[in-house]
Amino acid sequence: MDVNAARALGAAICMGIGSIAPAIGEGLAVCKTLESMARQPEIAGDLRTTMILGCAVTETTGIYSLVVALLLIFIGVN
Amino acid sequence: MSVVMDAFESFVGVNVWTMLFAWCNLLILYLFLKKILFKPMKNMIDSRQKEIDDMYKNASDAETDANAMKVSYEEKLSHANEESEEILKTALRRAQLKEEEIIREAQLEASRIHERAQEEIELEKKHALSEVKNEVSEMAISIAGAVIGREVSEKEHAEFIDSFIDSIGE
Amino acid sequence: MELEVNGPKVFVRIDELYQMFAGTIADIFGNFGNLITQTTVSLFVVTALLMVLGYIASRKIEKRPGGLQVLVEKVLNMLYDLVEQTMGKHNLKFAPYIGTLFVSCMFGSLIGTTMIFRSTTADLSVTLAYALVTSVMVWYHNIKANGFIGWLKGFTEPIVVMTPMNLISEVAQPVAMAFRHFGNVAGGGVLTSLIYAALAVASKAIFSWLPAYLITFVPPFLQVGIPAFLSLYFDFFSAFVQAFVFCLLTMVYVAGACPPPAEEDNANI
Repeated sequence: MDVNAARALGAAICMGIGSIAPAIGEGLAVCKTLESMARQPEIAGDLRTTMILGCAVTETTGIYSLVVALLLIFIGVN
Repeated sequence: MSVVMDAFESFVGVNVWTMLFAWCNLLILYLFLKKILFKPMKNMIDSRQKEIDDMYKNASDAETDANAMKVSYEEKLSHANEESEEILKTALRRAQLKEEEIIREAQLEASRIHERAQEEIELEKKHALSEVKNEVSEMAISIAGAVIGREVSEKEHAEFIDSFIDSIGE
Repeated sequence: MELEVNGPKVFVRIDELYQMFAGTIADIFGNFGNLITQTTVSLFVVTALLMVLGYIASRKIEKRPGGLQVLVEKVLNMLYDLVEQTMGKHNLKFAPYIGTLFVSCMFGSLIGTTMIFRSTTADLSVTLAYALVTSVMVWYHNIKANGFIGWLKGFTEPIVVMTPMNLISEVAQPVAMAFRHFGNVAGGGVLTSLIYAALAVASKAIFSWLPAYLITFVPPFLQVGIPAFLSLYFDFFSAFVQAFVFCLLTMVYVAGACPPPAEEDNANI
């Protein structure tokens, strides 16, 4: 197989599989946050801030896979 | 050293010189901001907070003092009321006593006057009686003299009349 | 679609060092001869801008504040409250460093939106440098509190067999922080340029009914408004959130190494 084809394929698979888990995790986090906000609306500000922080940390592995995909496409394997 | 055109670094890569520059810039910015911005602002915020706290403390202390003084004044006032009542009571009692004393003295005086008046009346009565005795005796003498037609000695007349009046007077 | 994604452009290179290490170390770890790159210039610009802003914000400090001082005091109070909430009252001395780190990261990421300079945090070296400062601070306070042997012993808790995992997680902390920040900012930049290139192609493709030589004169008019909305998320929101997360993680790690002093008194009693 052509190197460029392999690189493109590798990048696509990496990004595709690597975006499943962070999305599910962040969706669960937002779901729980919404439930808590409905239970106790007066601390909604604190909950929102903590949710954003948690999502940013959970997104780390997704970002790792994005970086690997970019590496594959634009810099490539020697 | 040379100036290079159109040479790019790798997209993901670690360059030690860039790290060094990043550390230097962070240090310079930290020292600058700490000296110029953070320290004076924190001092200002703290001193203002301390001023406000002092003002509040002074206000609350003044309020406590005012309350304490108010309580003591109210006590003194209630004491003053009691004292005035006491004074009034004593004055009233003294007045009552004096009233009774005056009445008693007046009664005593009145009874004394009454007695003295009675004595005087007795005296007057005796005096009047003796006067009447004398006049009656003179009249009787004159009448008797006129009747008898003779002049008797006054001394006999007097004895006669006295025994007559005494028998009437009893 | 013409798109080139490159690292920062090198301006000044020391040829001797470049030749020494040219082929030996892998491309990832850079060439030690590149002295001044685009990122270095951006770093200096960001620092100068922040020094000017800091000077303007600190002029005319009065007891009864005017308009600008009220804003600055509000921001500073938010910072002090955040530090007190996360690290405890006894650690308030870290607040100036956290403030410096936050504005450095945020302005460093935002300065890439002006297409003149390259974002400072879009270079892995910069974020790795910031993360290593955090790690060194944590190690320093650990050693100061527990002594050198106590720090090394801390890796064997709770069980001795956990030591390799503790060591790996100790190394993984700064690497993860650096990669998170770098990936978000650099990935956002790459996606923004991808969108620009795609919109250029799209704006040329709309006029495909024209003869071929006229299409080259079509300006990429679709690039005018649409990337601005996306730039709101990728550049502004992402920069703010990533800088905030970086500072928050720094605070949490350093607070873990600096326990409150009252606990020691209770333990002694």
